[in-house]
Amino acid sequence: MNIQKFLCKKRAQRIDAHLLLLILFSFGCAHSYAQKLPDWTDEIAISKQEELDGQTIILTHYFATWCKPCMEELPVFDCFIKENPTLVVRFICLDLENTPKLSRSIHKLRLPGEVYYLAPTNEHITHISRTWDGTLPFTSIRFPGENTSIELSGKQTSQSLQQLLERHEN
Amino acid sequence: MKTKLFLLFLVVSMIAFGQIPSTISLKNVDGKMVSFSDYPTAKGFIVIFTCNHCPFAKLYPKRLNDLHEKYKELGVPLIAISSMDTISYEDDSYLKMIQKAKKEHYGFPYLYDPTQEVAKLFHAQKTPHAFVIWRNGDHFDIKYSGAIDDNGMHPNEVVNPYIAMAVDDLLQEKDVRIPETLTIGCQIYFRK
Repeated sequence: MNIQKFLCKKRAQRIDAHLLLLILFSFGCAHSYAQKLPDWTDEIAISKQEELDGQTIILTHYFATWCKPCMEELPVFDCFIKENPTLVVRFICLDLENTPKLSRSIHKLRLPGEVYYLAPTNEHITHISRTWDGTLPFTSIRFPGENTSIELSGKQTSQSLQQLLERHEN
Repeated sequence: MKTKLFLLFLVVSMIAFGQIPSTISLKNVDGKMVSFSDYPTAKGFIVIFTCNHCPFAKLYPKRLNDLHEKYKELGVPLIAISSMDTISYEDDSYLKMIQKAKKEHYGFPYLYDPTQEVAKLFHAQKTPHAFVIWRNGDHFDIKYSGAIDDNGMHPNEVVNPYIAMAVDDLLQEKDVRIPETLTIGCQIYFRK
């Protein structure tokens, strides 16, 4: 009888532990599902720039999920970045709101680089570039040791990006 | 032939100098043609290039109605124009424009620019892309080009209502404080 009681107690403890694990797992999932994209702030931009300045080519790509040509263009980067694995690539998403739903749909795209969010208010977008006319998609490429970036408005192809790199190397 | 060439030269020159002829005429959602010349007492116009499908344009119907209500009494009515390529964006068809105008209770004309010529004339690039034009003899001068205001998402957090600021300045016969701003929205793709 005592043994049976002992076994029951052990089983109950095991079930409790499983329940606890299940709760923790669910909480973890819910937490990750509730996460938004990290904000692209001036501080992050400056710190990232200092971190990488003079070392490698930095490609910053601005896009939004509501922008049809942007979504059509995204697969181009997969191909281009596979061919140029040393590039540092950042995607800045300019959707209307930074929601967990947006974050989930962006993660499903498996973009080959860090993804940040920038609210498309005039206060923010005027900081993107002095020459940018507001057209999306917009790509900025900064080469090591150079103060200026090459800026590309509108849809690009893997070939046009590759040619740009090769032209610069030559 | 010479007259035609002269007229063409005149229109091209006007475009180059940011001048808009008052004779532009486009079909409204009520089926009637609308032209700037239909408003002989208007001092100017708020012209908004917009469309049905663009999420950015969808943020503004109420604000457009408010602008029209406020400024039409002061001689500056609002006119909205859709120049979107309806082949790429079916939601921007003339039929859908009629439905949109009804749904949003547009109190202003919502004109269809099927050839995209009017968008080219204004150098409109996106939706929404806002302009304030002001009467100068037999034509209109572009006095403001850019965003409607500085916060599409949150109307209560707008700091600079660019269109209202430009119209207020012009009504007081002052220079426009901010004549150009950056606008973000859906690209108007021009058919080749």
